[in-house]
Amino acid sequence: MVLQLALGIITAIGGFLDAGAIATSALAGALFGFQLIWAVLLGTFCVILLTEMSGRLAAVSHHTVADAVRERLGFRYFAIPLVTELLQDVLVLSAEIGGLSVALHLATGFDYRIFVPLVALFLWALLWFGSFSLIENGVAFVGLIALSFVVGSFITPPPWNEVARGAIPSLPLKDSGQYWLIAVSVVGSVLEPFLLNFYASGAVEEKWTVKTLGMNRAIAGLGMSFGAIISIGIVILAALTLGQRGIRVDSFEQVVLTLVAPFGEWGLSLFVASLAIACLGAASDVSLNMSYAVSQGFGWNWSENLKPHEDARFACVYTAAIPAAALVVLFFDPLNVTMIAMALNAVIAPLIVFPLLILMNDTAYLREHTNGPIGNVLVAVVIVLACLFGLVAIPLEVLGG
Amino acid sequence: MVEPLPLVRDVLDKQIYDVNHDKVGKVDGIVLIPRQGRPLRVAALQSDMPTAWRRVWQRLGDWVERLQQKLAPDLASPTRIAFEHVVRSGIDVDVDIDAKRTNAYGWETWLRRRFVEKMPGGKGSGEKGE
Repeated sequence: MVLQLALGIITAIGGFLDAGAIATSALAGALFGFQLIWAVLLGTFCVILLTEMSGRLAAVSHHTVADAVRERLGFRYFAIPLVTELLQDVLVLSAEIGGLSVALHLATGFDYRIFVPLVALFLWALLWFGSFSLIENGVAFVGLIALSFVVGSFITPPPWNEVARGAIPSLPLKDSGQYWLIAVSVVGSVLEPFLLNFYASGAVEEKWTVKTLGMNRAIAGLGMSFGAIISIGIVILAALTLGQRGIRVDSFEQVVLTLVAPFGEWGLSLFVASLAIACLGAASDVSLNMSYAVSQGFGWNWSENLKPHEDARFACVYTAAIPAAALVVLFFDPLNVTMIAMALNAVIAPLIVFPLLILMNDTAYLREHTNGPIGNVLVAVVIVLACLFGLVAIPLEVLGG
Repeated sequence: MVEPLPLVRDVLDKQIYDVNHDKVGKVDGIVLIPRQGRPLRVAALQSDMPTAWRRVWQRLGDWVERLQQKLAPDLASPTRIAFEHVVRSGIDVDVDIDAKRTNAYGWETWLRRRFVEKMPGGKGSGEKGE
């Protein structure tokens, strides 16, 4: 049980950190110092709340979010989040493939585009041959190297009182369009809609039951909180290294400086490893989620633990999605794709979060484990926030450049 | 007294499980038969993609059907399960037939033969790591 809990927490940390979290946190720190730490905390609070609920839904009913949304709200509603989430997942996947390719470019000096097909092939092979636990636990364990960002922020200690002040939301002192765009993107990078169904699918894969509800709470709470600490570490290091030198992040290469400053020549290797593993973990999660969402939505056989021969339709979904995502990043800059994907996360979040409020009050699924009044109020607040962010994300994308 | 069964709430869109508890598909449609001077009779559950997409937009369902016919004309008919085979409904629908004896896995088999079995490691069955 303790081992399962530890593995779950490590996996949650791995699931938290990806190209989007690294890019948006670095951009936030470089441009606005510690002022946007509140956005990381807000996103983390929302994601803890929602993943705990999707895990509870899966543990009690053995139905995932996609399953239950279709069954409870019908195909006419389900088709909207399904199609938008698939399009968004392709964009997020291309950001992750781009991030991993950039990591290999940083390690070798070759153009990142050379690595895009190789990364796509490696990712496909990992999903085709690997089991769920191998992919999740294996990648997440190696991904703990991203703790370098936390260690780094202690080696070059920031003014902690200013860091603490950044935890309280404040109005921008300059560039308000860009400030709010990055704030929305930071929240979007944490509150990735695909995480909800992926987390629930993982719970069904791992055969969670009502007995594991406590573990679900601990994994969602502790895992996501540890992940947030890494993101805050990136904001701090970006503020101290990039911000103080007036560097405006327009490529992943500049973010390397966040680890070179505290670790010297080891900084590059640590950054390459952190970016590569974070992107690989997130790329496998988002690819699997596309297969999960489609298979569950149409009632097909699905499990990453089964060989592709047993669930051909499930395997064919990620097999089609990976090259499509790789094509996007061949033609567009990986950092731009990442920033757009993160802002659009905020746009589609309400479509996924709203049904959760209905599902979490349905005794047919949750029996006696439905939401209490506090849980419902908190989800309602998240829905309002998600709608607000969704409404402003696209205008801000235009205004904030 | 027979309990009334709310078809839209307890049957439509639910997951169908066969007698071996294998997934058959979702209930994408319900086939009703009109009867002279009597209420409609529930004839069958229907599971296929065009039926589902037609509920969103008629033309979308037609496009999906045309695509299916182009890919594999033999497989383009929907899976229908006579309503007498429904043994339980709630958040799932259980039926007392073996799905392998229906055309429910037609597309699964088509993809398996056309694509999966041609890829490395695509012929092995069971769980990964076995």
